[in-house]
Amino acid sequence: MGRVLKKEDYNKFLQHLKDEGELIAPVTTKMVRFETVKNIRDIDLNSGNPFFPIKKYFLPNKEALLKIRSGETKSVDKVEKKKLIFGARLCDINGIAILDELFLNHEYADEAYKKRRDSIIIIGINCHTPPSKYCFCESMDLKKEGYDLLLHKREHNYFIDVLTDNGAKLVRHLPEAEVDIPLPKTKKHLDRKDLKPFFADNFWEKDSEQCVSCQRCTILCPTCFCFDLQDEINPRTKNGDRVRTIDSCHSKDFTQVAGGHVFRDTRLKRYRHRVLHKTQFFQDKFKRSMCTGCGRCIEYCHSKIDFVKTINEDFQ
Amino acid sequence: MSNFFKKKEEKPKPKVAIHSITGCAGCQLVIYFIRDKLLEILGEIDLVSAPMIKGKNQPGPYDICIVEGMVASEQDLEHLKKWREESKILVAWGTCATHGNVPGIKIFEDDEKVENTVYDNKSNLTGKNKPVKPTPIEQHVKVDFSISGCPPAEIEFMRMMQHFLMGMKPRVYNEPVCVECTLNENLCLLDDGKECLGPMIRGGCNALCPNINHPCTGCHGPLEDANIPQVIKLLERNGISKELIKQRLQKYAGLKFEELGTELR
Repeated sequence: MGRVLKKEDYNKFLQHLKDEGELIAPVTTKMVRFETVKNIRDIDLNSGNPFFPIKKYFLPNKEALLKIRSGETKSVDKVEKKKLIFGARLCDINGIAILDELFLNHEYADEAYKKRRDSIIIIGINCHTPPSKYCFCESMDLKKEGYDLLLHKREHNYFIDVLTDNGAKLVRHLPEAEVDIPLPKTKKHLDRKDLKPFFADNFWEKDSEQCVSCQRCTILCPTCFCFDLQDEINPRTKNGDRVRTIDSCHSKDFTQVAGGHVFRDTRLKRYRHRVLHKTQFFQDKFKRSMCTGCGRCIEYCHSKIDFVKTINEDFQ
Repeated sequence: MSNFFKKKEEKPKPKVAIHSITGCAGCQLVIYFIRDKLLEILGEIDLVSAPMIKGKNQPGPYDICIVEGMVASEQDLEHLKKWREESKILVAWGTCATHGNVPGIKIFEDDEKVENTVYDNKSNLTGKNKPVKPTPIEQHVKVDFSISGCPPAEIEFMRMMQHFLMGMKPRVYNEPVCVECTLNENLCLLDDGKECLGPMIRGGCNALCPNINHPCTGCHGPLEDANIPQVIKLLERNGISKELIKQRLQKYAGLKFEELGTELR
């Protein structure tokens, strides 16, 4: 059972969200980004998918995992403020669902991630038309999961799909209705196939030669989570932090091990690993694709390398 | 509290020297401008020689010798060789020391022409002042550790010294400028048609220039792993002339770009 929001109540609903806690939504300055909203008039849902996915609120670029005080380790008792993310699209939300699977659903849950996850409410919006020509989410089996509420715009009203209790509390004043929200349709499609026969170098040469290893594809991916751990310690007072920073499989240092050996020493190996991890390795292990089809890795690539096109056309 | 009054175990502090050869001395200034946090480091080291801020300076031996600037004269070479012999660890600090920087442009020009433009009177360019081919210091002596930048960021000095003091090999930031630029959510200047060198340049500056909408000019020098031919292709796609690209690459690290296989002459 979902809820219905009348069109004239839309702004009232946004104001209601803003009163609940820190509201984050797409805001356009030079380009559209997820930012804390000062005024609900600034919210811009028509300028496409924001540059950086909502991942940044779940896995920050840099965070302390452990405090070290006088040489003794202490846990980080950080209190996470309640945040509401409005205007995330299904590709980003499915990305969070994938991160949940990795960081929460296993024997060792990540405490820092869990704390943040519990403090954030996601209010998604459904795409009518794909926000970018690079979107190909229709072929990535997106699921209706990961959000608290999902808004679907219709001619005179909004359908709201309610998934969690936190979400239900936000819309309890709205009339109930039977809602049916269709998944987005895209023009671009990825031909899903088994990529094991295409591991040989010659399939990857053309794309990897154009790669400049700038790492934008992994930074902007809604599901890339690789990180580096470093101790930042003052040698005299023995105070400091053990910090987790964002890392990327496109960096040569990423696979360097003690002794100096680098496993993926060429650009081709690194490029191939990223694409295969997204489309093949993760699929084999978790029975779902790690790619959610948001298209950012193609749109924001300096050389506009299109792995979807390569897989569709060249891998025969 | 007992810990507070306990006398610290006397461990000899490492002897550190900060020396300079031909350059603008800006890299050295970065170290002194760290101020409050620098005091934490200064408490842990014995800064025996730093002619820029100290009156009394001791000669070697040193445990760590930080050298800024590049070799441009016989005298520079003489000093550098002496410092190398006197120190356990020699650090090349700044792009002059690591890549040759702006003075290094001279190698792409005619010596005679450059000297005539710069000096009114060439009569004292003899003896120890005699110019030599302008080169980074690692072409003359063994360098244990190098950090590029014009100037390098404060954080890189702090991180380096912390790691030295903990007995570790320092970790240098070794990712392109694009990483920090993307994390700062900047509009991409290269995609916007500008002459940004970001993808092939070592970061660590927190994308200082792109943050204020100025394309990266490459003051940290190229990454060993950079895909230079492709970045040049992208710059040409943006309508930047071959001549201008050549000048941009010559500006800070011409020698390094040549070493990595780029035609600059």
